[in-house]
Amino acid sequence: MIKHLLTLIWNRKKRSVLLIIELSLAFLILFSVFGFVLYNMDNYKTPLGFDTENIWMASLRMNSDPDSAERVETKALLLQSLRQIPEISEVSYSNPVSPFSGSTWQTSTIDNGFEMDVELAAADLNNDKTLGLNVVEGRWFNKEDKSAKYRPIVINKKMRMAYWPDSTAIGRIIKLNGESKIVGVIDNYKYHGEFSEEKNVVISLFAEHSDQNPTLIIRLKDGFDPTIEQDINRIIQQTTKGWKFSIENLESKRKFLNVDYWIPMVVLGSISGFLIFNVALGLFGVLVYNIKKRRGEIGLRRALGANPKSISNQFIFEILFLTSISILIALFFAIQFPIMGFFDVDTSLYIRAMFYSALVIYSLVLICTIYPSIQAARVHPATALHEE
Amino acid sequence: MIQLNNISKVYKTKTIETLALDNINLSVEKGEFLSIMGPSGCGKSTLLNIIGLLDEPSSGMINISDQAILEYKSKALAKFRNQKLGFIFQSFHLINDLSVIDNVELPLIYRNIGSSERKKLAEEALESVGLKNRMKHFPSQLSGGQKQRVAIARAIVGKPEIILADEPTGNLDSVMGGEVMDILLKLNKENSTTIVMVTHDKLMAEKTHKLIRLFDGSQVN
Repeated sequence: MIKHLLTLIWNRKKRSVLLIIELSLAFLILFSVFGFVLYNMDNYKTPLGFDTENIWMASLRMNSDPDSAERVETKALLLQSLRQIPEISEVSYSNPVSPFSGSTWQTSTIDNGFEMDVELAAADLNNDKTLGLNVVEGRWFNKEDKSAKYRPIVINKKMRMAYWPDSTAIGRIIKLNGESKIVGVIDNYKYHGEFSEEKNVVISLFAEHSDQNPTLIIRLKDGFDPTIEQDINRIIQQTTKGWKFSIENLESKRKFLNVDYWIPMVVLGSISGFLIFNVALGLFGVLVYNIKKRRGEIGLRRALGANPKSISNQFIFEILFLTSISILIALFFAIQFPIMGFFDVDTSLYIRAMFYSALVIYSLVLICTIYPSIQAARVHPATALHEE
Repeated sequence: MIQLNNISKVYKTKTIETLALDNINLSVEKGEFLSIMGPSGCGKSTLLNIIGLLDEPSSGMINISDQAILEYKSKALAKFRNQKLGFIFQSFHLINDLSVIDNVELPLIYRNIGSSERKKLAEEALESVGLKNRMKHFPSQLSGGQKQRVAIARAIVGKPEIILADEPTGNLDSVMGGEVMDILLKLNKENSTTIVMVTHDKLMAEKTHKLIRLFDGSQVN
């Protein structure tokens, strides 16, 4: 029976070309959408690596003051003043490459013949406590690091696994803006946002004399009074005497940033959903038309011994076979992405996108086939043969 | 072989009832060649469809090969049709997307016969109608007479006991019609195949063993 149906499908191939093209294109559209959504969702599932609840960030824009000693003094005074507020549990500084700031500082270096692409950030001694960073190996910066021979750095686990998967990274000295010594490894650090891909991150100790505008990170205790923002605002204003600044809640910023990722996913999902719906309508129409055109054949098959179930199975087999051909053709193109390495993503993501696309196409085809195949099975042989 | 008792067929719509067959009693013996004649719309094809188990009578009883067919469910009916009956239609009903041999093999596919055995039987059937040399052709490449001969090959490939022919020469000229009729007569004579044929052609009908006439759904003498 299968050989017979394959012969029939082969002989009808010219009439199936458009259907095959339509299903192949539908697969490729779904593959792209699933690839994009899965990429984002995979990133989303990776922990941020720091807390966002109860954390406020103030971006300070220091006046152009050549006297850096005064800046250092003002910054220290600011920390001291803020720590006196009982609702504040910790305060620290980082450079502008801070969580959700949108700033990036990329560099690369060569270590033992390996090219390392990393993103740099800077933090002070208390940054780990303020942001709730999880040190998994080694330690966070301490006071002795300020006078250490090698510039101390803390890296994230991703970087550690990328370059030293089988040995410890602690104590290693790498050339990164001078010789730097790894003193600690933190778990995750997705400072670009929840949907961003985690990069190799190197955090160095924030220089007190840095001429960069610092970011003040404030961690509040649970159940803080919302009016505390006014107090923080007043203290910064009074202490810095005219520095410009803006205060943002890290949790609000996280949610706001996520919208930038949700919107394209929802838009793309809706557009592809609409396209797929049209494909389904088209497919349904083609199948119904096909059954109508082949009523004579159905009548004949019934006369020659086919029962209603075998008629409906025949039509389901035919369309599923054509779907498989379409998917195979589309897979040929889809598989080029991991082979050619068009995007720097894991092969498993492509495989999952292919699987889900095939699943949707097969489900869609099956749903669209149910009614026409039932219709085919219900064709009355005498009537169909008479019509012919 | 075929026994019809008090067969009636009524087609009902919401507003009208049409009596297509009225109390038909018919008996066809094994190896008999029966022809059914009558004007268009008199119920000839309806009667043939009922004998061929493609349609159900509104009332009455049918026995084929001593089996009370009306008690059969759809699946059993399909099996019975496949094994006991062969069909020939006026408009051939060949599947244009299948080659001649694939068309002839069709009844055997529903018997789950293996591919090589099917091919062998189909070649034999085609040879018996003189079309073995055309087995790779498609129906669109054949003349009307050749198409009908393919249809006959398809009807006989499974060696059924009964062949039901609905105006087999209706779409053919007299020469081709004569050739087709000769094949049917030969089948009847040499294989003792029971044949029930609907025809408009009096000359063809006269060549058969028995002739019944229908008029407005009733059997007339």
